[in-house]
Amino acid sequence: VSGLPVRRPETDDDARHAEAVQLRALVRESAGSGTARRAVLLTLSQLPDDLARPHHRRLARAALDPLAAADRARRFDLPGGDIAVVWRGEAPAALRASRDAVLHLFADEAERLPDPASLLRSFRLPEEAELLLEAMQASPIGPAAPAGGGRRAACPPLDPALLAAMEAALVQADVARFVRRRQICERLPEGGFRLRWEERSLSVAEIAAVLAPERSMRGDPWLFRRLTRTLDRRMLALLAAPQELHGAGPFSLNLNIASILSPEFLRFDANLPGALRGQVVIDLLPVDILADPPSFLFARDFARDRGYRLLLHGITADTLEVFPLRRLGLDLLQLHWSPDLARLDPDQALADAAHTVLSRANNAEALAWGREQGIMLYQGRAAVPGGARALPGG
Amino acid sequence: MQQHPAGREGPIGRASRAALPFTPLESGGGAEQALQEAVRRAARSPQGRMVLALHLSRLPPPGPRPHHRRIARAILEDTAQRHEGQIFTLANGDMVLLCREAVPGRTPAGRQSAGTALPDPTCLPDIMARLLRIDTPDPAGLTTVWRLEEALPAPTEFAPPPPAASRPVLSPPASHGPGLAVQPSVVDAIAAVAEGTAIANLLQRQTGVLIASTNRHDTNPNAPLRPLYREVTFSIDALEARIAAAGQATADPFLFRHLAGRLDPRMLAVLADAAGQGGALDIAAGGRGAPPLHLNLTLAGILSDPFARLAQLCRSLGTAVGVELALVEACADAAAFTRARSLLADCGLTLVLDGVSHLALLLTRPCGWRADLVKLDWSPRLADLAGEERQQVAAALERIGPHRVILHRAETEAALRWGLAQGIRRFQGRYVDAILAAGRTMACPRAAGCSLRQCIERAAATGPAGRTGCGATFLLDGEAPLPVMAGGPAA
Repeated sequence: VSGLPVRRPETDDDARHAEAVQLRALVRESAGSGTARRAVLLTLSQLPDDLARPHHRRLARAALDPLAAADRARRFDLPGGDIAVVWRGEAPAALRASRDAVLHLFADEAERLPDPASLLRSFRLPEEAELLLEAMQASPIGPAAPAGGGRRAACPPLDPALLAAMEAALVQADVARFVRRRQICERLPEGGFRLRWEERSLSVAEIAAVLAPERSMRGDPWLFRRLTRTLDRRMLALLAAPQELHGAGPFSLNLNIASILSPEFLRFDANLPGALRGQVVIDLLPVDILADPPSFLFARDFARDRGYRLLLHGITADTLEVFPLRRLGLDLLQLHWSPDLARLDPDQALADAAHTVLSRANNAEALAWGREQGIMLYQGRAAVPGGARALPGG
Repeated sequence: MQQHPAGREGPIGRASRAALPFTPLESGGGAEQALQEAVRRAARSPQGRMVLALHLSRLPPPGPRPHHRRIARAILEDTAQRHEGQIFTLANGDMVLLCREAVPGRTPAGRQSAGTALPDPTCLPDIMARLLRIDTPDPAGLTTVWRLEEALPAPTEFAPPPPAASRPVLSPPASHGPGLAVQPSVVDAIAAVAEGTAIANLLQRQTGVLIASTNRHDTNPNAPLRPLYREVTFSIDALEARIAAAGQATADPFLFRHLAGRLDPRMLAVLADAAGQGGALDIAAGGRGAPPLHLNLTLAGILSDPFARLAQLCRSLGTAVGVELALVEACADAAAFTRARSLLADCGLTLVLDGVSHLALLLTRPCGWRADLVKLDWSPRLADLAGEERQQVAAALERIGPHRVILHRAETEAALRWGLAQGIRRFQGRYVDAILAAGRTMACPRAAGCSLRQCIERAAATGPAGRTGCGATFLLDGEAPLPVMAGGPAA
């Protein structure tokens, strides 16, 4: 079990307020003396209630553990469950590791958080002392972290033994209660949105909370990817159950290539109501496609023959150029909104706007960029059926 | 092209009328006998009846893969349900469908669909050829069709295999789904081997070369070679052999990437220890101008502190290494890839995008990753692409720049010739190893007692144990261009 060396047992409100006072004093001292320090602020108080459960907080706290080795590192537990770490000198690898761990932790909740990257902000002292003090001020002073939140247990990543145990545990598991739905909406010419289909997925965070609450599921991205194959099959088994899709509307599923070629998919396909054939979208990740291109081509053509539409999922401004939709022979592209998109070279303009879903469209800026590009399909808090009329560009 | 059964050339309607009448065979396996009996009964009233054989056994390795069998079976079952069919799975894995032909204007029984047309039996050859076109050079040869009123399968078509020749149809263990056949514990055990022992004997190296052609149109594969770099890797075969798990490390691409991540710290530690010490693993061996070492790392490995220390060693020793990163690593985390690329650029180290297959070249734009070099895996399919795909590959190479492409796994002269014709001058592979060994043998005063294979293996070794028997080890690390090999190596 690892932890930062300055851990203290107190986690009650008074102790947190006291630590906030100490942190402010340190920041001011740094500004006054010109002592160079680095700091990060993890604002867990931003999290919605269902993402701020004890295991979420434990994992988020553990994400800061790499910074424990930095020179004279000191951790501060702040009101509302926020945490700050201050250290001397540079620790780029540790900072990257902590940032990645936070992003991974909430990777499947991106549209529910204002901005996952803003959960962990870094500051250079003394130059950004005021910014850090303002950020602390902006954090709501809520209740202290619930019981268990004060534990400094390290949360190691998934390992092969645990992966095998989870695969075994999930073989017959009913995953119905872990299903999440997100709406993909079409922008209407007269304003507002209408539902086109629902994306059905499993909440990895909730499954992890049950099966391995002390582990970071995405800490090892490759073992996590392997686990998703088992999750795919449980989802397919669920959807193949009698009456499960009775009266259902169009929907999409995130699947691995191997899952499309599995017996569970064949059973799902055999039980798919006739009204839904041609109405189901299968989302694929680029990494899965390139891990086994011959299987991708086989699965793509097979799924197409069965009436499924195929969507390339998880494309960002960084990868838009690399994955041309038409060359991949896919039907749709899901592009994650970020301000970086607006800065793209016009030569890299979206070639397939009519076949693009702009995801994480949580604000007017995203909608405005999408409209400028001619995108009609959106997913995110700013694009809900009947909504967004008041938003600029909606 | 694969030869079709006597006189029959695939698509229905072209079946030969000269085929022999169907005659039951007297002995054989259950499915084969049942099929022969069923065809014999159907032949009594052959109008509108057909037989389709799907020859999955003709798929070259690694085919037929379990999903080929599963999906093919599902497609045939759909057709069988709607066209009064029966399916027979033969001992060699081939599947045979006996069914009624579609009747124009008559809707078959069974599942119908609003969004897609379920296959008519006459469409099956085209469907199977399309699905499997990547897996075989002769997709049309995968199916044979007989209209029973025109011709019957020859008695030898579905002959039961002799006992000695029979082989079971491979399928994953019942407890695992497809893609899950390799247990995580196996990969964990392989990683533990590397983590728990001295690894000198688990490493291997291979030299990448520049063929010193004078211009782009020079496609002479026997031009002088100049060593460009020496790639040091873990020998996956050696690791697997330690726990008798042949083929397990790479069978699951995701578990393999996990394994690669576990191997990084060991590789980085060994190279840091060997820096400045001389020997095959010394990043500074040979001094300035010597071919640098290339090492394979994951994104996490590049962004780790041990790599930062190695980069610092490179700076202090005035040398450099090349870092090879698998394409799937970049795809898995583009943001981390961007950071790694910047880090390497800041350190003045070369980034090589590794594992780019010809399909990756056709499906994506690898130039968009902006790596210093791109390693394209040679495949004989590259030399056999149809017109449009050939143009796409040429355009992709042009976008990357042929001078930034390394043709990897260059195992044959055909690979070199194809690469040279594309303007590629950088090569790595067993054919290159053989040319280099042949050059060393010509220059070596003690070559009389050595075979070419021994010379290749000793050059691949990273420790003294693997070089035992060589009396001129300085040649194994030679840097100078080697003599021209008229006619190429005999290996």
